[in-house]
Amino acid sequence: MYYAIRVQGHLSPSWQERLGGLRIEQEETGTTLLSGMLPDQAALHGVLLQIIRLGLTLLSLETSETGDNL
Amino acid sequence: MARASLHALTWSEEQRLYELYTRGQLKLRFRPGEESAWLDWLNEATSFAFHGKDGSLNVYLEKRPRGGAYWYAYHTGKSRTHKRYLGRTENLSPAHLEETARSLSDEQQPAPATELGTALLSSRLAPPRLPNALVERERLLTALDEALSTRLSLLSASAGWGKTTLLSAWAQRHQGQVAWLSLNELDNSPTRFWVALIAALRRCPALTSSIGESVVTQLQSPQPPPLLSCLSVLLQELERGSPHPAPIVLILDDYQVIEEPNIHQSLAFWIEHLPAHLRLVLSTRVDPDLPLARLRARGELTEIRMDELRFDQEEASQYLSQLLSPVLSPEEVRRLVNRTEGWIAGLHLVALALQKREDRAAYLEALTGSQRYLLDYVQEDILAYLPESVRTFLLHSAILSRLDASVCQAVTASPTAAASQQMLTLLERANLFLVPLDEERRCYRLHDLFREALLSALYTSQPEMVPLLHRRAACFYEAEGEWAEAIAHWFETRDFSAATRLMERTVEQFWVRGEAATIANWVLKLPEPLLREHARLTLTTALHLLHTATQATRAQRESVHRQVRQLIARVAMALRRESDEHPAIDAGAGTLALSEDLEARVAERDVLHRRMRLLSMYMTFFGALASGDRERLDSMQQEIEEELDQDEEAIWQIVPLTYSFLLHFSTWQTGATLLPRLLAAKERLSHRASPFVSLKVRQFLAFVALEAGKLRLASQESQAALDLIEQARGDVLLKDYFEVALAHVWYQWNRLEEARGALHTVMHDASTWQHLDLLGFGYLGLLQIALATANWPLAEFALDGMEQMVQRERFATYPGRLPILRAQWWLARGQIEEASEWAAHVVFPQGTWEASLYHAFPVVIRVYFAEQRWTEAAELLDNSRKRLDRPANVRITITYLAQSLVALHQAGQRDQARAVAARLFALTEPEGYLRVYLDEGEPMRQALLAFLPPHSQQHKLASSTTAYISKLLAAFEQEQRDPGRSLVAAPTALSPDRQASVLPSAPDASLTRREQEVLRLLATGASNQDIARTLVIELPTVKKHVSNLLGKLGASSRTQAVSRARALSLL
Repeated sequence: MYYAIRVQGHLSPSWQERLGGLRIEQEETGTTLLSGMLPDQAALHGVLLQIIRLGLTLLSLETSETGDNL
Repeated sequence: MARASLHALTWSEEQRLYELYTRGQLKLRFRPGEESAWLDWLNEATSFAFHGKDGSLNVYLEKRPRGGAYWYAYHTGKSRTHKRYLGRTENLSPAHLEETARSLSDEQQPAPATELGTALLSSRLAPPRLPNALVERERLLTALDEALSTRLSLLSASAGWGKTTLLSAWAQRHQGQVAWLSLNELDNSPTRFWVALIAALRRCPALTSSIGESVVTQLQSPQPPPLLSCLSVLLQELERGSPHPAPIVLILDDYQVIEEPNIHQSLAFWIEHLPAHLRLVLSTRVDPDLPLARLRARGELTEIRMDELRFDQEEASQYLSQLLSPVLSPEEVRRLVNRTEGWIAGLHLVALALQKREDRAAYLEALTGSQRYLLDYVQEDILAYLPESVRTFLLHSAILSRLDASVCQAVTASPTAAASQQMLTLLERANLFLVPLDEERRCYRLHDLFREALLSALYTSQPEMVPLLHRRAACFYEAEGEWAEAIAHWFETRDFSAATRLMERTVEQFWVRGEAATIANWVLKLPEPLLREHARLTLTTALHLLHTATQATRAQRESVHRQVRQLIARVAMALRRESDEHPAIDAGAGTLALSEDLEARVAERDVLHRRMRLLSMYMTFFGALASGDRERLDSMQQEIEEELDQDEEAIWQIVPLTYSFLLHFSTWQTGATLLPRLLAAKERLSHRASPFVSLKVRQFLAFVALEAGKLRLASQESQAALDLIEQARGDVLLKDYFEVALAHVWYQWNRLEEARGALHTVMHDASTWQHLDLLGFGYLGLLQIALATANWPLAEFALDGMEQMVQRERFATYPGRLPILRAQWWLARGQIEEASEWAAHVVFPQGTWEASLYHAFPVVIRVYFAEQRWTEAAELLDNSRKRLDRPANVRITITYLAQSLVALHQAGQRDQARAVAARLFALTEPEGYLRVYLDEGEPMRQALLAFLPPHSQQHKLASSTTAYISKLLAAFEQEQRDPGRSLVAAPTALSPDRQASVLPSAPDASLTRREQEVLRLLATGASNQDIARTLVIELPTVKKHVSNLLGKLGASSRTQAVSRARALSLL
C-alpha cells in the first residue's frame, strides 16, 4: 500500500531510516510530505508511533494502491 | 502459613558449636567432631533445616520403594531448587553438610543476585532528579494539588512538554505520600506491570513495605488466580491501612508504552475500586485505553493537556535566563515562544544551539523565520559543536534506555568505567538532555526526543555500528543477569540465534515467575527457520501460557487461547515448509535406508506434532470440562491414554496425566486406577522435575491415594508436600490442595478439630483469591464435619455458601451435588419425610452413572436405614454391587461394605454380614478408618457389637481386629456421650452464631519471618525490651512488629494475639 503522510514543519531527510524508509520532502507551505510504500498496517502503525514520539503534528494521511492518484 | 521447619541445626559462630532446635527450643549442642548425640538424634528424624557456616540447606530422608532410605539436601536459590544426594544416616556429619551447603551456594554464584530486572527496577521507583535549569511552575503545581480531588489525573501531551519534570517537582514537595513508577516497554505483561506497581507502592513512606507481598507471590506462581482477584486482595490490603491524613498518590510515568489490553482492563478495574485515600496520576503521550469519558462525566477525572503545559512568555524567559548569558531581550523571548509554541523541548534545543553562537541575533532571526523541525537542530547546531569524543559517546549510548557508567563503558568500549562516569557528569552539566534518576547520579536516561534525534543521526552516519552496539549491550546485560534487557538487545542486533540461545537458557526463570507472556511475545517475533529450530521452546512457552490461564476469567482465557493457537500455527507452518523442502521427511518412516540425520529429524517432528496435539487437547478438554460436556470428555479417553508416558520431558508428561487425573478422579470416580501410574511418575520425576511439576504429581497422588483407601499414603504425601512448599515459601493455593487431602484423612481418623483447622485455612485462602475449586472442597468438607458434630449453624453456612457459589458461578462441577447435600442435612436433622421424598426420585440406571449418582447412593441407603427398610437396602446394595465394589475406587467400596454390613446385620442375614465384615476390616483396620463406621450411627454400633463376646463365641477374630472393633465401639460411646465434643474442645471453636460470619473473613495471618520470631517470644511472656535484646533490634522496631502482629491477628492485646495465634496453629 502506498502512503502519503503530511506533518507540520520542515523535517530533515535524515529521518528516513527512522520513519519506515518513507521519502521525505519539504514543501513550500512549511509542511513535510512523507511518502512511499509500506508493507502492511503494522508498518504504518510503527511510522505513526514514531511521529507521536517525535511530537510532530500530523496534518493528513492518504493511501492508494499504487500511489498514482496521489 | 507458618509451618516453620520443625528442627533446625544451626552453627553458632560465637560459641563455635552446633545447636539443634526443635520448634525453636534448644535440644542439643555439640562441637564439631563430637557428634554421637547428633547421629543418635538423626535416627529418629526425617527432615531438618541446616544453617551452616557458609550456607543453608533443607535436608530430607527419602524412602526407596524397594526398601532403604537416603538423605537428600535441597538448596533453594533465587528461582530454582537444587537437590543433592547425601547418603545414609551415618554419613550425615556436620562436615559433610557444610561441604554440600558450600558447593550448592557456589553453584548459585553465576546466577546473579538480581531477579529479572529488579536492579533496573529500583531506578524506576523514584522520580528522576530535577534538571539544573528548572522553572517553578506554580500554576501547574497548584493545578496538580487541585487534581487530587479526583481519583484519576491525566497528563496527556506528546514528548517534550515537561510532564515528567512537572510531576517530579510536585513529587518532591509531597515526598511522604508519593509512590512513583516509570514504565518501560518490557512492562507489557500484566504480571510484570503489577509486580512493578506493587514495588512502587512499597516504596511509598506512607505505606508498609510488606504491602502486596502475597499478591506478588500469587501473580508470579505458575497457575495464578484471576488477575482481578489478585487486585481485589491488594485493594483490601490498602483499605485496611491506618487512616492517612493526606491522600497517597501513585504516579505512573510514560503510560503510553503500555499496549497490552489486559493491563488497561485491570487498571480500569483498579481505578474503579480505588480506596478513598488513594489517587492515581498517569502521564502519557497518547490518551490511554481507559474509560475516560465515563470518569469525566462523573467528575472523577482531571486532565492537564498540552495547552496548559505550554511555557508562557514569563516562564520561558525564566527558563532561558538559566541557560543563556547574556539574557535574551523580551522581544527575542516572545519570538522564540512563538516559534516553539511554548514547547519546552524546543526552547531547550534552541538554548543549546544558541549557547555556542557568536552571531546570536542573526541566528535567532534565521531560526524564528524558518519552518525547520526543531529537533533537526540537534545534529547540525548542537552535536556538530561538541568535541568528537563527546559526540561519539552520545551517539553510541543512545541505543540504551538506561545509562550508567558500566553499561556505557561496555557499549562505547571506553577504557574505564570512571571515564564513562566522567562523561555522563559532563553531559549532565552541559544540559544535554541527560536526566539523572537517582540521588547519587549513577543512573541516567536520555530524554526520549533527544534520544530519537541521536538515533537518527547514528543510523544515518554510522549504520554499521548499530548491530555492534546492541551486541555489546546484550553481552553486558547477559553477564549482569538482566535477561529481559539482554534478550531485547539481541533482537535489535537481528542476531536471533543469540536471542534464542539466551531464551533457551533462562526461560525457566520467566516461567516460574508467571512471565510466559513475555517469552511468547519474543517467540512470535522470530523468523521462520529459527522458529523451526526452537519449536520446542515455542510449544513449551504455549503450555506455560495455558497454565497461567487455568483460573482466569473466560475473556482472559480466550485471549490466551488465541495467543496459543498463534504459536501452534507458526510451528505448524514451519513444519509444513520443512516437509515441502525435504519431501523425504514425510515419506520418512516407510523408506528403507534413512540417514541418521533424517531419522533424528523425523523423530523430532513426531515429538513436535504430539505436543501440538496435547496443546489442542488441553484447550478442548478444559472447554468440555467447564461446560460439563460428558460425551466429549468420554470420547477423549482413548486419545489421552495414547499420549500418557510418551513424552520424555517432565512438564509435558504432566499434561496427559492431568487430563487422566481429572477424568478418573472427578468424572468417572475411578481415581484409584491411577495409583500405580502416579507412584511411578513421582519416582521418575522426583530427580529432574521443577518443583511445580513434582508438586502437581504429588497433589494427584494424594487425592488418588484417598480414592484407593490409602489414608496413610495420602497423609504422608500431603505432609511432605506441605513441608516442601513451606521451605520454598511457595504458592498458598497449591498448598491448600494438600490441606484438603489432609482434612479428608483427618476426618476419617475422627480427628475433626484438625480437619476443621485445615479447612479453615483453605476457606480463608480460597475466598481471598476467589478460587472456586478450593472453595467447593472447603464447603463440602465443612459440611461433613458439621453434620458429624451436629453443628447446625456451621452446616447451614456451608450449604448456603455452596448454593450461592453454584448460582453465582454456574459452576459445572457441583450442581448435581446440592440436592444430595440437602438430603444429608434433612437426615441429620431427623426430617426423614423430606429426605425420603428426595430418595424416591433418585434413579440408578443400568447404563453409565453420572459422578453425582455415586455421591447420592450412600445417602439414599441411609434414608432406607432411617426408615428401617433393611431388606430393601440390602437388595439395592446387592444390585449395585458391580458398580460400587470395585478396585477402581476403594473409598466407595469401603462405604459400600460398611453399609452392606449394617443392612445385612439388621436384616438378620448374619453369615453374609460376617463375610462382608471380614473384607471391610481388612481394608479399614490398617488405615485406621473410624468415621466410615461412626457415620452410620446406632445400626452400625449394633452390627459391631455382634462381633464381640458374649454375642460371638464360635467365630474367632484376630486379636488386632478385636482391638479395632473395641476402639470403634469406644468411639461410638464417646460420640453418643458428647456429639459436639471434637469441635467444642477445639481452640478455634467460636460461638455457633458467630461462626458463619467469622469463618470466611478470618484475619490475614500470613506472618513475616521476623513477626513469627516476635510472636514466639510474645508467647513466652517477653516484654518489648526482652524482645529487642533477644533479636538485637531497636525498640521502635519491636513495637512496629507487635502492632503489625496485633493487626494481622485481629487482636486487641498481646495475650489475645498469642491465643489467636495458637488457635490458628501459628504457634
